[in-house]
Formats: sequence, C-alpha cells, structure tokens
Amino acid sequence: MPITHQTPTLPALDLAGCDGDVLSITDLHFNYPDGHAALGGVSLNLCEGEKVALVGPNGAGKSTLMLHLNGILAGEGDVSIGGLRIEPDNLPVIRSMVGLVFQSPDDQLFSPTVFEDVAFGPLHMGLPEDEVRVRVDEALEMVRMSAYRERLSHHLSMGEKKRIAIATVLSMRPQILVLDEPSAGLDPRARRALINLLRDLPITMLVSSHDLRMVRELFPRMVIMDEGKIVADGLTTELMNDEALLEAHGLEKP
Amino acid sequence: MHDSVFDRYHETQSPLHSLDARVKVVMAVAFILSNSLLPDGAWLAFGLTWLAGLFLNWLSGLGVGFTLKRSFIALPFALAAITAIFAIPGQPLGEWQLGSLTLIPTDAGLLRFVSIVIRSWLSVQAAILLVATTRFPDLLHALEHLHMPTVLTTIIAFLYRYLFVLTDEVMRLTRARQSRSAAVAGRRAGRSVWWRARTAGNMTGQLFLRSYERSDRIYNAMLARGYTGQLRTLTPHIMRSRDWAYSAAAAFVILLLQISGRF
Amino acid sequence: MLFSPAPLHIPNNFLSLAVSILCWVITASVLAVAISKTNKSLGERQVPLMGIMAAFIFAAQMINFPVAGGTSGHLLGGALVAVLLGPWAGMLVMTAVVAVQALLFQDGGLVEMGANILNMGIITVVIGYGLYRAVMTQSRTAKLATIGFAAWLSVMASALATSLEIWLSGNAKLEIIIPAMLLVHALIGIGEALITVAALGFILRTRPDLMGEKSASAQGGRGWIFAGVLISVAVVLLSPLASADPDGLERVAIDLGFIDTARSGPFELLPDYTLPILGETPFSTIAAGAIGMVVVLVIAFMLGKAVQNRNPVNPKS
Repeated sequence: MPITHQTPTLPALDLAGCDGDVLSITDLHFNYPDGHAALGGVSLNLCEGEKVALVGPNGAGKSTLMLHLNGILAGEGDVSIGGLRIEPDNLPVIRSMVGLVFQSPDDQLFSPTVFEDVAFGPLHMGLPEDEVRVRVDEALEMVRMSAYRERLSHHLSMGEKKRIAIATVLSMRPQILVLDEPSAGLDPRARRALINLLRDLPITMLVSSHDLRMVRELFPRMVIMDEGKIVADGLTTELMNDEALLEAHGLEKP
Repeated sequence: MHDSVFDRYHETQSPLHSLDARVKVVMAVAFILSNSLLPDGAWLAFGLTWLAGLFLNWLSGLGVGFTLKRSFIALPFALAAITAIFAIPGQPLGEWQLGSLTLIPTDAGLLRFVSIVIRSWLSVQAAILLVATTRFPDLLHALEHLHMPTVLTTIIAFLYRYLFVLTDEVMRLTRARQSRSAAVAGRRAGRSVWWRARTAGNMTGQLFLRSYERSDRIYNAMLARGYTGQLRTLTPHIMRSRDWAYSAAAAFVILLLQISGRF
Repeated sequence: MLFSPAPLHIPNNFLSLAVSILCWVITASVLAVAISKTNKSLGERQVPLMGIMAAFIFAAQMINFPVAGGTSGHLLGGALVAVLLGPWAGMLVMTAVVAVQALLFQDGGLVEMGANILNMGIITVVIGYGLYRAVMTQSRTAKLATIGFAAWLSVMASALATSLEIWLSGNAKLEIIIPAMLLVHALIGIGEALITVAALGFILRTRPDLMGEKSASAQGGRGWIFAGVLISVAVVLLSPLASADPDGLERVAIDLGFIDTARSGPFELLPDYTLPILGETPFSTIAAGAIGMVVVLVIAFMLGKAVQNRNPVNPKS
C-alpha cells in the first residue's frame, strides 16, 4: 500500500485588498559596482500577518533583494516598511522594524553569551535595562530557547544557533521577519523544530528557501524570482502544481 | 564581486608580463632607490623618471595612463611630508606661531617637501606596475628566490589565500551588526563608546576563534595531502637572455637618471 | 581601497637611505631570530596557523566602531596577536600583514618596509607581550587592564619610532612631529586598547584554554618582561625628553652623521608637557609623562573591571 501524505490545508488567502501595509517594494532596480544587474524592476507587497516564501535558483537576486529591506543596499525605486519609505537618514528606525536574519548564524552571533546577543538590538535602541530583560526573555521564549540564556553562543549547534539568531531580531519587536535560507544546513530534527517555530510565530514574514517541502507546508503565498525579476507571485498550491513553471526556473516539484 | 579588490593583477600579454618576476622586483626596488638618491629639486631627473615610468606603462600593455590614475590614491598620504617645510634651514619664507612653537618655513624646506611628494608619487607607480604585471604567487616565488625566508612567503601565501574569505566574514559580521543597530523615536541610540568598542571587540574575538579553528581544518587537509612539515620546493627559475637584457637596460637607464640628477 | 587603520605606514621616499637601511638591519636580525624560534616551539602546525592569523589581523583591521562625529576606532593588532600567539609568531604575522599592505595596496613604501615592520610589527609585539607576560598568572582583571595599557602604549611607541625615523631622515623637526604624532596616537591608542581588551575578554570567556599555561602564548621566557618594560619606560621617558631637549639629541645625531643639516631655530618647551609647579625643565616633562602613564594605567584597570562586569544588564538581579 503506498503511503499517501496528507497535504496540509492552508488558510484561504485574500490577495485582493492588500496594499502593502507592512512591506511595499516598487520597481526596485539595483546594479552591483561592477555593472552586473542584480535586480531588474522588482515590485512586491506584503500585508499584516502574511507568510510569504521567496524561491528561485541561486543568483536570482533573493539575498540581494533582502538586503534592500533594511537599507544595507540601496537601489533605485521605493522600499517602504509600515508605510515609512527607506531613506538614508532613517535607517536606524527602519532596522527596528525589519528583523533580517542571514543564512549563516555564525555571522550574527557576535557576543559571548546568548543573552548579550539577543539583548544587543534593544540595548542599541536605548531601551531601559528592565525593558531589555523583558524583551530578551520574550524573544527566547518565542524561539523556545529560554534555557539557553546564559550559554556561550560559540558552543551551540547549528540548529540552536539559527534559532538564537532569530531571537536576536525578535527582541526588537519588528513588524516583519525576513529570513534567508533558514533551514539550510539543518538536520531533520532541527529542521522540524524550525518549521514548528515558524508556523507558530505570529509575525509577518518573508522567507527565502530552497526547501520546497517546507514552503508547501508553511507558506500560503509564494514568489518565484529568477534573474533579478519576479516571475510569479501567487498561491503556493497553484504554483506548486505548475511543473513547467517550476522547471523553467530551476525548481523541482517536491 | 569582491575579487577585483584584492586582485591587483591585470592579465594581458606584454613584454613586462612575461619578464622574470625577480627582474621586475629588483627593477621596482631599484627605481624607488633611484628616486631616493636624486637630490631635491632635480627637475630634469624627475621629469625623465616620469617619462621612464610612462614608457613602462606603455610596455605593460595596460595603457600609458594606467598607473597615473591609481597613484593619486596614495598622494594624500605623501602630503604628510609637509613637516619638511619647517625642518630644513634656508631662506625663511615667513613665520607662524602655533602656541609656543615658532614655525619657520624655508625655501629649502619647501623644495624638500615638493621633492618628497614627487619622489613618492613616482615610486608608488613602480609598485603599482609591479603587482599589475606579476601574478601574486609568482611574486612570492621571486621573493623566495631573492632570499626572503620561506616561512614568511608561506605565511603571506596563506594570507593571500584566505584574505577574501576573512574579509568577507568581516563584511557579514558588520552587516549583521548594522541590521541590529536600530533606533526608536525619542531615545538615544548606540549607548556608549565603550559599549560600541566592546561590540567591535566581540566581533574581533569571534573572528579570531573561527580563524583559529579554521586553521585546524586546513592543517588536516594539508596532512591528508601528505604535508610533513616541509614547505614546498621551488621549481628553479632560469633567467633567459631577454631577462638579462631588460636588467641591463634598466640599470643603464637608472644610471642615466642619476647622472641627469646632478645637473 | 586602503585598509590601514592609523597613519603609521611610512610612504615611499620619506626616509633617508641611511635610516631605511638601519631599520632593515634591525628588522631582519629580529625576524631571523623569530623564524628560528618559531621553528622550535610551535611545530609544523604553526605555518597554517600563522597564515590564517595574518589574514585574521588584516581583516580585523577593518572592524571599526563609531567614536564621535564621523571618526571611528580601529585595531592595529600588534599587542593582540602577541598575546594570542606568542611574541615570535606574532612578529612574523605582523610582518606578513605589513608586507602585503605595502605590496598589494601600496600602503607603506617598499624600501621603507623595514621601518614599518619595526614600528608596527616588532615594537608593538615586544611591548604587548612583555607587559602581558608580567601578569600572565594574575587575575583576569589584571591581565585585561595590563593588556589594555600595553595596547595603548604599543601604538604610542609605534608613533614615537615613526617620528624619530622621519626626524633622523631630516624631514621634520622633533618639536613639531613628536607632539603631533603622539597626541593623535594617544587618542587612536585608546581605540586600540578598547578593542584589544574586549576581544581578549571574549576569547578568555569562550576559549580560555587558548591563553592558558600550555598555549602558544606562554612560550616566551621572563626575559620578555624585561624587554617589554624597558621599551615601555624608554617610550615614556623619551617622548617628553625628545621634545624637551631636541638640541641635545640632534647634536648626537649630527655626530653620528645622520643629519647633514646645521643648527635649527630656537627651541621652546611645549607647555603641555610640563607641570607648572616644577617649571620648564626636562624633569617636569618626564614627571608629566610618568603621571600620564599612571593615569592611563588606572583607567585601564577600571576598564578591566568593567569588562569583568560583562553583562551591562545583569540577568540575575
């Protein structure tokens, strides 16, 4: 008897009526200094509570796009977070609203202890110490790593580090979480823990991933990028069934 | 994306490119020494040296103006020689009071200052051309042949190999810090200088530990390929007749430059 | 793109040939000893380690932190690498960094490289290791405070050496270049001290084994303490003395045939380097220097204590 997997039912998606109240990207272009075009006119809107996956082959521009969302890179076109347009002089405020987590947690955990790393964001924001403590506990609780508060980041496993890295931005209470390949390099158990975590986080998120099984499980809406442009943006269930589309952009139906 | 920053070598075919690397190193150093030996205000010699430099640019196949553009980056640092204006006795050009100090610029001092800047500017172009026409591994080989200790050249080789990797990590660490350097309205962000310094120190410590542990892995990889503590042997470089010819020509030109400097 | 953190790299043709050659002789001799010593102590694992560490120092010099008004603090790294790898390996690592900066980025002259290695790669390491070695078995606070002070002093010593080399080449008056360089580097040195202390604090917490008794950094004998302290004291005494009596120093230099310039203009003592009570005598400038050193030491101790309170927000309270 073949084993049939139940496709998890995803909540119905109301794509109409979303005017990008959390994230709004309008016609974003970006060239690298050597002239190589990385983004060729990207437009994307995200609304409160949405969980959106960003997929595409390597070099499609996913990471480059994400670096624009907190102003590390600046291209031509508009990027607005919560209605606030990203400008050179409001970057620190934007960074309190966007929680960007890079692929390698080793690059993000630069304090000796977990506590200090998670506290960095709120501390930099100038919050009073008891407020900082509250936020750290809250963030660690959200990623289910409260027991790791005093641990030295250097000695943690990859999966543990990835979750701490997420906590380091959650403590800033951002409006949107932007994750770059969160499940890359994780063993099955750590991956499952991450998936459960992302499912339960009640926060708007944009997640890039090659892990299409995770995408199908977690994200109702999917955006396919290739060669610096968005080639598809719609319901995950629909796009996943379009094998020709997937294949055309270096993806395989899971 | 990054390689161009650390890759100062410009690939092309030219007589300079194919010249023995040792000859190029010696020529570059001789050129710089020649500049040192030219007296202050030896305008003729400076001019001729500059022409020699242009000729070498042309010879390199990289364009006559190749080193000119790149040499201007180093120019501001040469301006630090401004102290020379007040250091050489001669005809006073004025007198300035700086607190309790009396600064007296002199004509000889001004001449010295201008001469240093010109020499420095000429010399840096030789250095630029050297690395632009010589692959870095070949440069290290040349230095070894010129009796630089193997330990040092091997360390430099590793430095070069991992430079991009580690500077990339620094860039990502810095971006991660930037991403969490947030502010909210009504509050002063960034805390104290000491706190920010501590963050930089933490990043440095992190980088150190990762580098240290990486060296373990590199050592294991070397062992797996038969490393026994002996550093690599050098294939002998043979000087061809054209290498000798270029060396002789260079020596002759430098002699001429020195003579022209005594006028 | 230049990566140098401090204006210490002497460009091409700044030094007279005589001074350049003298510096090369000193540097080459010291490095020859360093090479033979590292051969013996670290074993075959050392070369990949030193190579990576050289890349580390190079990259670490790019890490900065905002100080005020657009300026930022940086690391030079001589004292840091001396404590982490031991003195001889530290010198070789810094030599590689200085060499690559000069060769690839034209940051520092090729002929002047001997002087640049001496200033940034040897003097800094001797002071860093010498002072650290004296407190190696002491408490964490003592270690961190001392290394902080050593890092600051190493930058000052570098600046002093650079100034002397340029002066000996006849390209600057002592009473201009020494105060200028030392004042600027007194500030830069603070950045060096802060990052060095923080980095070592991090390493001591995460991997204390790397700095324990059996580590590479414990290789040097007690002679290093002597060398480190001697040079440190020399720096403290020489700095004010050089600006207090440049005439005397210059006479010596002329006798040795270094400077072919004749008498310079009248000298003045700098008020900043004197104590009003003692009046304008060389003694007062030395006293000022010594007091300055004590003040920095005290500040370094306080910093060491602050690092021990590593959590600014104590989670246990």
